[in-house]
Amino acid sequence: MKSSVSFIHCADIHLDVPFSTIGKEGFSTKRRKDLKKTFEKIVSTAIEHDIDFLIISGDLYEHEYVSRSNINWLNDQFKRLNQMPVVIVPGNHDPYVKNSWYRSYPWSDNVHILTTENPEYINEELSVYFYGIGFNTFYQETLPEQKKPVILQDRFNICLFHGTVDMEFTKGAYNPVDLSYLIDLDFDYYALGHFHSKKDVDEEKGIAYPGSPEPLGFDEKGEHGVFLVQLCKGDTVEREIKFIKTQQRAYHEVDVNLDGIDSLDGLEKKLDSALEPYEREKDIFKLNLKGRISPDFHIDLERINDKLDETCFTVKLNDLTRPMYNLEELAEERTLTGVFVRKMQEKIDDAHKNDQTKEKDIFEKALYLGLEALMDGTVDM
Amino acid sequence: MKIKKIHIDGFGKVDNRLFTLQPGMNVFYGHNESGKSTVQSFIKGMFFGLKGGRKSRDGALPPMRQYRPWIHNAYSGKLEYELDNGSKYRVTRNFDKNTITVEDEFSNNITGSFPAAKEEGVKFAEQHIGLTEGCFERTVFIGQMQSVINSDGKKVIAERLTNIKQTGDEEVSFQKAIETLKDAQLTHVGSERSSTRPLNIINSDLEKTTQKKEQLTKLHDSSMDIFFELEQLQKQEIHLKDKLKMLNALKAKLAKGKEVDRLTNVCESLEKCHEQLVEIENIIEKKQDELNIIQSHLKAQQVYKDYSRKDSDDMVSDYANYKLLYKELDGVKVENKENEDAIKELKEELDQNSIFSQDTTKMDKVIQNVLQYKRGKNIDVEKQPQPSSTKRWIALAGLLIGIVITIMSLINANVLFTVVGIAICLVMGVVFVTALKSSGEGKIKEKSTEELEYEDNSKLLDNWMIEAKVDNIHDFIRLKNMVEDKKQRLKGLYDKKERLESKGQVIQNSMDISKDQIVQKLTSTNIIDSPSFEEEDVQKWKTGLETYNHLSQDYKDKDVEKSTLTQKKGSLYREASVILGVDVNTLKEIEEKINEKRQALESLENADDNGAMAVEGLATYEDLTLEDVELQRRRVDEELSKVSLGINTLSTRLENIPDDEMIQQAYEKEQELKEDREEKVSLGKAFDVAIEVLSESSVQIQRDYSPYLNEKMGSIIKSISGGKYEDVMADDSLTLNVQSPDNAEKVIPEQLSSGTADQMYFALRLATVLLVEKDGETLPLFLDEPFVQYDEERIKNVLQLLKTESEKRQIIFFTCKKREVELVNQIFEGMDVNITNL
Repeated sequence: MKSSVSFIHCADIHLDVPFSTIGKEGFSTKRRKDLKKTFEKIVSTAIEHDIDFLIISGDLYEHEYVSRSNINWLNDQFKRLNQMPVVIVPGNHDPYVKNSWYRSYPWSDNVHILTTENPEYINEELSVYFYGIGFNTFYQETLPEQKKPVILQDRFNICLFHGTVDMEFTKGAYNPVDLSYLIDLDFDYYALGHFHSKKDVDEEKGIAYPGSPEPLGFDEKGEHGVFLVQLCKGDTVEREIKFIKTQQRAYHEVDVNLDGIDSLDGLEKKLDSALEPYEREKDIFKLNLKGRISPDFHIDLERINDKLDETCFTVKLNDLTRPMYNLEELAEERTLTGVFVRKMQEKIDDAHKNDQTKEKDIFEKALYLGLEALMDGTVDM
Repeated sequence: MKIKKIHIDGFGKVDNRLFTLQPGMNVFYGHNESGKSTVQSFIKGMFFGLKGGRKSRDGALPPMRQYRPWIHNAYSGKLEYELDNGSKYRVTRNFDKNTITVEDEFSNNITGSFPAAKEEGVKFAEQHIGLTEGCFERTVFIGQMQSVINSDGKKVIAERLTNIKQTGDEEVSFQKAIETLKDAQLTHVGSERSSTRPLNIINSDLEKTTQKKEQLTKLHDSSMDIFFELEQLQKQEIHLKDKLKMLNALKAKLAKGKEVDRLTNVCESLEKCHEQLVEIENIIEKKQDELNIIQSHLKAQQVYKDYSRKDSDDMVSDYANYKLLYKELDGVKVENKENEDAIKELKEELDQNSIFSQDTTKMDKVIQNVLQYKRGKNIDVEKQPQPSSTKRWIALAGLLIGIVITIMSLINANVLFTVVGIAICLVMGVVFVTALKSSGEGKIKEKSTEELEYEDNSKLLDNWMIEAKVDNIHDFIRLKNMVEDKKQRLKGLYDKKERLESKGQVIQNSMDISKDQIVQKLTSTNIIDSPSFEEEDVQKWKTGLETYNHLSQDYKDKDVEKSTLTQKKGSLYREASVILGVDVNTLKEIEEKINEKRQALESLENADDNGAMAVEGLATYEDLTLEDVELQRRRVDEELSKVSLGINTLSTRLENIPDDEMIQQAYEKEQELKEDREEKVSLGKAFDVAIEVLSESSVQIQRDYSPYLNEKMGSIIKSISGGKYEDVMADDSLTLNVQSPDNAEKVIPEQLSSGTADQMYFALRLATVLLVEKDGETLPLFLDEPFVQYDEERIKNVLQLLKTESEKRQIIFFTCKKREVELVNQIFEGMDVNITNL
């Protein structure tokens, strides 16, 4: 038996995923290219580090969207690894369904897909036992019924798992499982996939989500990459897990307070300073415009966006500003306006108390629409 | 609240002025542009500050810029006021520096005790007045009315009245706000009924995009299905190709074995044919020799060639017949001789009685006549009845009847009976005459013939008896009978003779025919050379014919045998031709072909078949025949064609399915439209909520404030109209109407006279002030030229109202009309009125 093995553990590449169209035209196409670049980077990293095998813990591609040409491209990437084993477990986005590419495509010989029908792959040369728990369908509320793993202590035992571990929302989740269940399986390493943010579930037992190597949205902030793992087995198992950043771009959500801003120049300066700390030409931004501005000053989002697009890769503007009405004063009036403001504020407060964000937004909007109609006799959008 | 002092350092055109006010009526008198509005703005600015910033949307300068002092004095001032509870305050404000100080009556700076906001500054006024800036401005500042300036004036007043009633604010219209919201909702969102509004367009685009995405998804799914199927088919194709290769090899191997077998069979069959042909040809040759010998023998017997077995039978029967006829003819000849003798004898006997040689018929008649006459000489002829006498009597009677009829008819002059009577007379006359004539002739003829005939016949008979030498008639008759008998016998003999001669001639003729036939046969076969022959000649002919027939039959038999052999030979050649596939007609040709096939077989047997043996899995099919293999091969080939066709079809279909990002783009577009829709739906809901809450608020205003407003308005109106009108109320449709005590009918303000409309407005404004300050500070009332269009009487009425009001409320009246100042003095007589000239 070999005393140590090294490998890369990655998951959730989501090749050919659709992106929400924000910012410039062609954004999503560029982002899909980014995904390919990231995967190329993973493969190159594997070659550079001369690892023993590559593990992909599900959601490698989007079954519903992936093109044939990209499947070919993927296989070419696997061939680049020059017979280095690639072990894959299908995820909920690339499940092992009837017409799955995993089933139909003539993959390179070094690719090993762990399915419910055949969840094992044993590499005798490296003395590694791979066992996969993945997806047969797009949605699994319980683990698939499959052959139980056979753990032998004289070899490395690695479990590839795509699903949710120890989450509060296990009901109705994807392959929900308790951490104790995994620990009881007694693997040397658990290569998890499904969650897009890096997470050590149990460092001691080697149970971790590497996250998506390339972030896919504003809810995937922080660093994204893969795990470079080295397992040493003697009397005990020693794990060395190193995170390698692979992302092409990062998502940033920045709040910009526009209180007191009453001109376009002032607004642009505010935005510039808000973007100052970031790589604006590379990363993806959502700027939440906040604060109270004069009812007379209307933000021309389109114009500002065009201006920002000249220097930024992509910026999405989220106008959360409010007209600078003196609501407290207005609420005091014994007039229709006063009654209206009071009533609306009550509704807003109720929604706020009940965490009804959506309703709160609607009520706030209704308040300003009503005020504008009452006080100006027009409604500007 | 009452304003005590107004000290303006610099504000607009007003420079360094101090105005001291009293609790009741205060009049600021000055001509136009003298600073009345500036003073009002200063007061507002002191309480609430001045709005800065840029120009408003209508292009007006913000107050901060508008009231910058014309002369370079400080942009500041002071204001002192007293609240209803007696507490006094001084406010010092620098508009330039945006600083403010609030001091109590003990000059304590209490600025910090008020809430403050960055923009609005210290909010002391809100606390002391109890009103916001807007509300303060809208409520306690009463401006001049425009009711008679233009035709829309009354309508404007009516609207303002309505606004105040509905919203508590003459500038804010509930109806307009609702309409604005509905218009904006339709413009920026749309409704279920609209079709071209943003939400409608988004929904339509979304539907199309979703459809497109679904189509693309189906295509994408089908591309995966096709790829999967294609992969299966390609694997199947490889498998089938391998199988076909193996079957081809097996076929080649089996085909070689079969060819060897075939060639071996061909050779053997040909050799067998050859052997048989050699034997048959030898036999045919022998048969031909035998035929030649028979042929030579037949030539010698050639004379019999025209005779058949029937001829032989005829010869035998002819010859037997001939001999039989010969004997029969001899018998006839003997019999004829005997007859000749009998004739001769009888002839001689008859010659002795020649008298009877003549015809005896006459002799018999004579004898008969004589004998008859002698016997019948006594016969009575008279006893016989006469038929002609009867006839006569009948005729006579008829004649008489005829005559009677005629006479009777003449008497009666009947023509018909006359004719009948004459006819009867004629016929009966004729019959009578004829009867008379026939009875007379018969008696004379009978008597003469009998006598004469007898006399002649007696003489003749007597002569014959003499010649016959007999005496009496009876002997004569006997002799005559005897001779007659002999004559009869002779005649019989002659007849016999004739018959015999005839018979002999017939026999002779038959003999001649038989003889001729025999002689002809014998002569033709050279047995005799003359017409005579012997029995042995006949025998010889018969033997000769038999010999010929025997040889002839033998020849025929041999010839048939030869033909059979020749046919067999032909069929053997045909068989060989069939085997070879080409026509062969000689033994030599067959021998050549046998050699050829033997050589081919030898070379085939020596050929290398390692190729076939190298195919894997061949052993599995070792038991199959070539036909089985061919069948399987064909099946596999057909299957392969189908699979190849399927591969081509699927490949083409796959190539035609786009392999790009269209599906993601469709999804992204769909998501974007969904977000847009969500946004528009939220906006629509916001509009709905705004409209709903605004309507609810309006109802609340009506419920909470309107009764109070109506009450206050009613009393004010009654007061200023001198009791002409006593009530103003809003109906369910929120339309204002005025109730007159004289008239039960309600009148809407637009129908009132301009002055009355102004009064209504004034009353309502005052009522509004009462409403907003209800339970709070009594606010000063700022009147800015409100009576421009009022007649003196109505001014007095209003001033009377104000006089009463001034007892508890500070009134600051701005006017440019001297007469109004005088009227104030007149109405407020006995009360302090502070008049300031600007």
